[in-house]
Amino acid sequence: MGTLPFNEMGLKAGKATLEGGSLKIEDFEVTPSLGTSVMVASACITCNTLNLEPPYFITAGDIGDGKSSKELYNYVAANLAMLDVRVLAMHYIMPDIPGIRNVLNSLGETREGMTLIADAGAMYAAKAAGLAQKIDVFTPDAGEMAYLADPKATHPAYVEHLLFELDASEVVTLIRKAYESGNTPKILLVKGPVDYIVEEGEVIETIDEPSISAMEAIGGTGDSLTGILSALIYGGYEKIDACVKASRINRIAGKLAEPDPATSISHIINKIPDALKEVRLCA
Amino acid sequence: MTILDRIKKRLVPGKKEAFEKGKGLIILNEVSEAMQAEKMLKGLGYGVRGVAPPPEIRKGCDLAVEFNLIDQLGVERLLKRSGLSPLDIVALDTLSQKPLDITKEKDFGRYLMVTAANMKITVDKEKGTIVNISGGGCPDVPYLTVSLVGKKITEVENPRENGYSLCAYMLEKAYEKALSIVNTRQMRESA
Repeated sequence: MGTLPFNEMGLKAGKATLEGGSLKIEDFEVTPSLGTSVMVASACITCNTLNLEPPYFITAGDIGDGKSSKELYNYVAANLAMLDVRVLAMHYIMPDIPGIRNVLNSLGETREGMTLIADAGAMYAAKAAGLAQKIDVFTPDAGEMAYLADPKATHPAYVEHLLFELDASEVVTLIRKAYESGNTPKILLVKGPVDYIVEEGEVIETIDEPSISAMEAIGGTGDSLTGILSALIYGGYEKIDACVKASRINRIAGKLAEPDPATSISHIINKIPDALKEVRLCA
Repeated sequence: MTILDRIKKRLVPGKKEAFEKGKGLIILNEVSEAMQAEKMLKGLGYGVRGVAPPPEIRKGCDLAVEFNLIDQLGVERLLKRSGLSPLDIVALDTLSQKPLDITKEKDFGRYLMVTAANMKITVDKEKGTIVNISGGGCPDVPYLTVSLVGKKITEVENPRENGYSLCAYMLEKAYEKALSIVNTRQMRESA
């Protein structure tokens, strides 16, 4: 679930497909670009390559005033229990504490068999609401890690200067602080020059190859990671294993695209099938 | 009981309630301005209410407007359009904090990336174009990305003009830093 940056598109819910570079949902189609469209497109590509059912996408058009985000929270809270959901990836949406609380409260007994992933605005909302531990996986970058590590901040804009100024190599310090303050789920996939896979506050694996520095500048590389991760967990991979594999696949897709900082994310997600072959997840 | 007392009784919440997470306060010059702001924002669908500001941040007005911090950019723009100039806008649960005002830069040679909090903007230093925007989580970030990427940073509207959220607020910080760097470079080259 997540918003798309279009006014007046209303709320859409249905199977998402990627055809000819366009992400299609009901009668609406969009070229993937930074945000939820990239996350869902990447999940579509991964599912298609692994012969899995395409993802079900619930979205609403919101250009920032947050009104459609509220509708989206309400719709998901009202309908989630009726859908057979194994993985729920929550993404770009106006952070809204009552909204995320409603969604999580609506899960009831369905929560047990479901993996919850939160990134972007949904992750901000879950942390601000004090509900991070109700989620299974967050996928923050270093700046967002500073937000999780600051117990007072209710948005990454309000983190303490000291935490923001920490060097990327000090991400482990932020991970420890965030975990101690109870603002992390059980698993973190911290994306950056080095990806950290964290379980219960402990870094259990780091991935730094292939190292493509330009990816940090390209909008959507974190979104593609979340999409790949969601599809892998849906495909039956255990959560930590899926984090490790998703990190590698995303990096390999980046390497295969031979990007510079001006490269569009669409060039990278088109390489996901080849990256899946390279890690031997498909023939 | 005066009208103002009745208004205060209705509007002033208990301390626990006022310090709700994710809320901010708009501090204005006069009670009338605060009421005007509340009415205008409420009429536009924003979740706002009048509250008593905590003593440590009182600046001449005993009525402030509580709002969702996430709406800060849109709220600021509407106040400006209405001719209202707040004395201050603060986060309720982090009274000593304001949005980050520092940025980081990363040089990729031809390209420069500027980071402000969770937002990154990357420019082609030679052409002066915005080549990528990364990060954020609020819905206006993808919207602003579509309108800014591929265009000259010296010619686009400031993200503040079309953004609503704190993510857009931080994108503006990164944009302004990148713009100043591009302008300095262009002035140096034309000298």
